[in-house]
Amino acid sequence: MSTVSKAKLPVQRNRIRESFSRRLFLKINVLILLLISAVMLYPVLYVIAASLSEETAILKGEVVLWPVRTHVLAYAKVFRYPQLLTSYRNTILYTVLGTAINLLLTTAGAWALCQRKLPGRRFLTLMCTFTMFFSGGMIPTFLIVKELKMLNTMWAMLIPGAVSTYNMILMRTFFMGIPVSLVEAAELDGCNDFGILIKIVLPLSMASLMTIGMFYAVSHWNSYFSAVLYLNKPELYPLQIILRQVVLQNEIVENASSSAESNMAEGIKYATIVVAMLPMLCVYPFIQRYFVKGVMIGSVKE
Amino acid sequence: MKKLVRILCLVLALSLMPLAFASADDPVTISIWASDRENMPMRNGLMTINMLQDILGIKIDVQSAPTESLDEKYGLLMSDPASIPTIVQYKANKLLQYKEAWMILDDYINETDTPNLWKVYSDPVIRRYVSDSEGHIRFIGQRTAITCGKLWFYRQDWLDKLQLKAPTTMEELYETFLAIKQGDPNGNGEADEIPFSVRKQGSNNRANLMPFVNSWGIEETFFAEDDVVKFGAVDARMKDALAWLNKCYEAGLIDSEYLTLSKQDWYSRWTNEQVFMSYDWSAYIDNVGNLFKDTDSPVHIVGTAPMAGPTGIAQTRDQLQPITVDEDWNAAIYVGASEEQVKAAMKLFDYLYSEEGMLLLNFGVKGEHYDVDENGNLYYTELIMHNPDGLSAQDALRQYGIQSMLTLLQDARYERAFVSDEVNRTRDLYEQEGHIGPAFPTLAFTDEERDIINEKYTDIETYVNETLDKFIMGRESLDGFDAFVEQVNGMGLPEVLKVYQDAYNRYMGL
Amino acid sequence: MRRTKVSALWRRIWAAKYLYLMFFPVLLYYIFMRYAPMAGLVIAFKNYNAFAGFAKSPWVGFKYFSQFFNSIYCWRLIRNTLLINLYDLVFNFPASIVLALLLNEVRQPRFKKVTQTITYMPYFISSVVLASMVVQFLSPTGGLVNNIIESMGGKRTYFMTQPESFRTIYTLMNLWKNIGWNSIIFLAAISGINGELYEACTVDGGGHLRRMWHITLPGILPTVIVLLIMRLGHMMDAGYETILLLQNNANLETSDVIGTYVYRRGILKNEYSYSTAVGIFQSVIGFVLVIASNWLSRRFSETSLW
Repeated sequence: MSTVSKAKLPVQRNRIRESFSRRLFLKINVLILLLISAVMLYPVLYVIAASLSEETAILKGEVVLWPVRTHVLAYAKVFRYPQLLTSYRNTILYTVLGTAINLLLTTAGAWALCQRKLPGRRFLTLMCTFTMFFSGGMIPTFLIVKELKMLNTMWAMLIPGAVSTYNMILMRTFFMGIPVSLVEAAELDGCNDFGILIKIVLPLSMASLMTIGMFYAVSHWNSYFSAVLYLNKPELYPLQIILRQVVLQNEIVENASSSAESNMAEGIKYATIVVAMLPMLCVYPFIQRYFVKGVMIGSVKE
Repeated sequence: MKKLVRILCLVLALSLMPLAFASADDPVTISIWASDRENMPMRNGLMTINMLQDILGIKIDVQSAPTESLDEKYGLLMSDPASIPTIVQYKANKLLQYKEAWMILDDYINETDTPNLWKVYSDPVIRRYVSDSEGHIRFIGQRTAITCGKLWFYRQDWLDKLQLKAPTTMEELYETFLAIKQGDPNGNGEADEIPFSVRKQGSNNRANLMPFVNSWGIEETFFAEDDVVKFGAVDARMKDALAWLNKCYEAGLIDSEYLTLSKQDWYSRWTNEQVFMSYDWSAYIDNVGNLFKDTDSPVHIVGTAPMAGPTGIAQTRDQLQPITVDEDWNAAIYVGASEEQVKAAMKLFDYLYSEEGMLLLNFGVKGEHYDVDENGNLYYTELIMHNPDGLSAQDALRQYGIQSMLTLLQDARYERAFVSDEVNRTRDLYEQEGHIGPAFPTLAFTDEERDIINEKYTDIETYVNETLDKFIMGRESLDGFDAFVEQVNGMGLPEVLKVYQDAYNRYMGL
Repeated sequence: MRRTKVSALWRRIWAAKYLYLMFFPVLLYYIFMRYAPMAGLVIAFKNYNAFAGFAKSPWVGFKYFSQFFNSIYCWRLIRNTLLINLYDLVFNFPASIVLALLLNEVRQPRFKKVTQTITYMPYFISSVVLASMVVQFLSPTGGLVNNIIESMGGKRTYFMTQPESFRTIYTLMNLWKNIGWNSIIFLAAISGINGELYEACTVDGGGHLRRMWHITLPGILPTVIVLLIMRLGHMMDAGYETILLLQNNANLETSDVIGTYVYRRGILKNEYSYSTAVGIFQSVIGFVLVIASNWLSRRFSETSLW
């Protein structure tokens, strides 16, 4: 009896001590994370507060965390700005269509590249990887896009970035985790590679599809440089171009005659920022649960 | 089966019909690449563009480029000759960079075909603004109606409040700045006044600060003195000018944020009652004044002549030239355009230079946008001045494409109609009292010359740019000025100056 | 013997026909959008003129390369580019690993989820917005940061014009934007670690930090190394879009990187040949770095990108 308790005691004590240090550790951990969250959150809250505040309050720095003399006039103005709605529609179109193309090509490419039975797989993988570190640069790419007659069409926003090598590698790594037995069983059932991909692999890869889809969607949503390069028609402009016009309002030249400009106020600037980032901020929390399961990275050689 | 063939034939015939008809009387299409600004739209469907199509019997297709990224867009446009439209509107030096791309217009401008253009461009002084290094006309410019573009202005009410007299020299100005800084004219008990504040404009962050050096008889970069081209940044007088700027900067008299201040931030400094003086386009006298419209601030903004430097020079040099070569309005015709397109384009330009075209583009349609009173003076209608949609007068005009990028001939009446008497008074003061110094022309270079400039001047420009700011901000002592000059010379300034001198001599016909 | 080998290869290729078919669009993409532009790099060795075209533009050999190496800015650009990336590598790269480790220790699922949501958020803000927020916050008049400094008795400072502050500002901005997002991949790697290892460690009396040190970190090491190799391949690029928005003459001394220089000379001044030459130099250095780091890693840790 006594021997048992003797044997147990040190463990018990150890556990108590550990649970104290553990609790302390967890408390500090939570504290640090709270601090980080506050730092992350504040600028965004500020922008939202400013977008709802009166002009002079923003200019005089009265806005700290909460809207001052709240109104929604800035939003009313933003939504009456005709180019904004067009660009909004364009961005949604580019994002949805672009992400669909991305996922189609990326899954097909990633699945092909992770098949051991594919002769030349190593060469093809290296061919893709090489472009991550060596590229032709902006002007030559522009000339190709032009030669393919994609300038001033929405394809210029979709095709040049149709596959991201990094994302393809991520997905390929994920696919490698799929049990070979499942695939072999399907093969025995007479499924071809397309059938396997669609019927077996994709349903198992929701996490990866969602995460990588989100990667692509964000880059489409925030992309603006390809629009600068490839688009000339205002009716095709994505949101970020309009955002840049409103937020940075670059006056490169102003003639003496341009006296009474329409002054885009600070409030409108902030409201436009909010309108531009809101959809992404609303969507990602729902996909968030897939993030951690969806991304894996490893060597490209296997 | 027969029936099917017959239907097919019919469909084919019908679909071809428009083509058959088209060939006969189809108007020539000319495309125009031009900057499109939010407050100055240049797009298909604007009223003026539609009217020009009807009047001239041509079809105009505008390829709008957003003004935010014009330099990028222009470079990309020119990287692909096949996509260059009939007309490209841009800055003169950018056009001349690709002079092989543009038609030589010498023969197209003559008394019979284009009398209105001839009236302006037969003048050799005007002609050289639009000519390349061989003296050929390569583009049509915008003819300005006024010469005074930018000017100095300050708050008279603060001078009155502190019982200061108006400064006239740079030294007096420094004393005035000090008095403003210490005198607390905004009465909040803090020395938060910023005697001199400017907004950042375009790619040159110092654009509105550096005109101070004009009072020393120099410019920041190239200028000509007795027909000798000099580089202001390395001129001995620049050292004195920089000393003055640095003295003000160190004392907090010049806005410490002049490098990055956006228009909004600059405006907010005014509305916070912090700014005393600034330099900008003349219309900003009104714009800044309007900021206080709904407040009870006693603000009173007046324009002032430039301050006299040590040798008595009181001039600004970055004023408007007769042809606005520095702006995006200059129109060149692509060499690849068909003969009909070139003719149509010339017809368009000539019309824009005519009285009728000028009226349409500056004032719009008579009876609708403007009218004439019994004395023959033009005035804008209520539709413009008190727009029912709540647009400002200027925006109201521009939504019709009036005063747009296509306005090649400006009218002084337009300029005067919009601004206050104070702006007009100051402009007259500058123009009539000799406060407008000689502007350095936009020179046309040969390919070899351009190579030298690309190779040597690009790095010099960067180096000078950052070093001048260091001198002003006191990050580098002016004792190092001589070393700076030596460095710039070592980077090849003498070669660049020689190129500029040659181009200048050609330009002046020396 | 030889024939059977060849026919065996053909059989394998035939067996993989659907896979080839599947890969075909991807292959087309890489050929047209990634490799075809590389042919355009030839303009670095020519005095390229769009009106003469690729073929007719005269050859100039290494003229533009030597022009770049002789420029007084050459060394400064290389130094700035490397330093900005080094800052990112030294501070931001480990920071997201640390965040992942901290998140992994959280026991309240709801708190963990909310923290994750919040830390991912900045990633969704575009660089245009981000840059203007930074300038706004750092403004010496009314900017949040300076308001705080002043209230604590400090002196207002115009950070954006201080060359010595630029790298810090840029690194902190990227830290804010990317720390959460970049931690995802490490969290994923952590979740892939075999749970039994942890239990074994606990049974051995291992504390929290010990567990982290002996199990979690070695567990995610392959991921870290692969990402590190990729990162090293980009030591010569830097997000020039964002840097451009934060750049001004006064901070050029530290903010001018190869990317912004190429943009200025190439896109703004239209010196395509020169800027392409500089771009090639940039790519080659990056490529050498990635190969070297991959080789080193394979040698010492058995993990490598390929």
